[in-house]
Amino acid sequence: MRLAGVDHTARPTWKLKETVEFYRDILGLPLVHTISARGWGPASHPDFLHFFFDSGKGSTIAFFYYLGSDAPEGLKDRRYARPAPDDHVFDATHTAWLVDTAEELRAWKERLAAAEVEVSVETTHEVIESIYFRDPNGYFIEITRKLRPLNRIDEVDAAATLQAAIELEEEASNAHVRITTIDMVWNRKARLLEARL
Amino acid sequence: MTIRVFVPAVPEFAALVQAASRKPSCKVSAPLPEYQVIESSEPLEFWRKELGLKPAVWYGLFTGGLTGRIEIFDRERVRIVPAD
Repeated sequence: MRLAGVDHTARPTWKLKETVEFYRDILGLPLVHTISARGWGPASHPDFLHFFFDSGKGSTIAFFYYLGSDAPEGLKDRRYARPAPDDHVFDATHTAWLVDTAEELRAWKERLAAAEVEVSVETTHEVIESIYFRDPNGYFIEITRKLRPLNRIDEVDAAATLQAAIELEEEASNAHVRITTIDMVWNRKARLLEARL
Repeated sequence: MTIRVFVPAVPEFAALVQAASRKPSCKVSAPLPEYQVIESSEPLEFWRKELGLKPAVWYGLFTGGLTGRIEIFDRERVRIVPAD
């Protein structure tokens, strides 16, 4: 069995108009579907709007707007944070959209900058190059391009890294200590690979 | 104990293998299909600029696995010494 890609990802918004203007007008993603409904299911569920913007290849990014509800404290000033993962817990949950070329990535950066959205510098990772920015809620968004396709080497290496980390975490848990440096994972991984030599 | 760096055989880490190949103290081999291995019995030092790496890749330089102790690892330089 295989999944066929992303249908949608969803998050709550407390900035209805700004969210529509940002995704539809600044990013240019067509608003393709809106549900408006009485809260249903759990009694605590408010009446809501649920709306979807087309983000390419059949995928959408979706928002819930809960009528009469307040934004959590932690979200209130987040839109003004710089586009860097200073809050690594909150910012870890993010969406990365794909573009095909370096020129397109640069064009997106220019488009966002022209709309006075603060955009990060282009960041070259191992297999992707990305720009980052925030939406009106402060959600961290990434646009990226692939530098190369992933292959068998990446798969083998990924499994070895996580095997090393899981082994270490289990041993540490049994000893009531914590693994806090990646050096320990690298050392353990080398031991695992040395056994294959 | 010999320093041993496992380098995944992928383009983004090729510069590390090339830099090691130029060091007389290093032996570079490919004993596994997925990895090249750098070995050295002496401390090893690399500079980020020499490798031409952006920080995000630099800070994951040893993701393939490392036998040895990292003595210095800042934004520009890494120094590894044999493990105790």
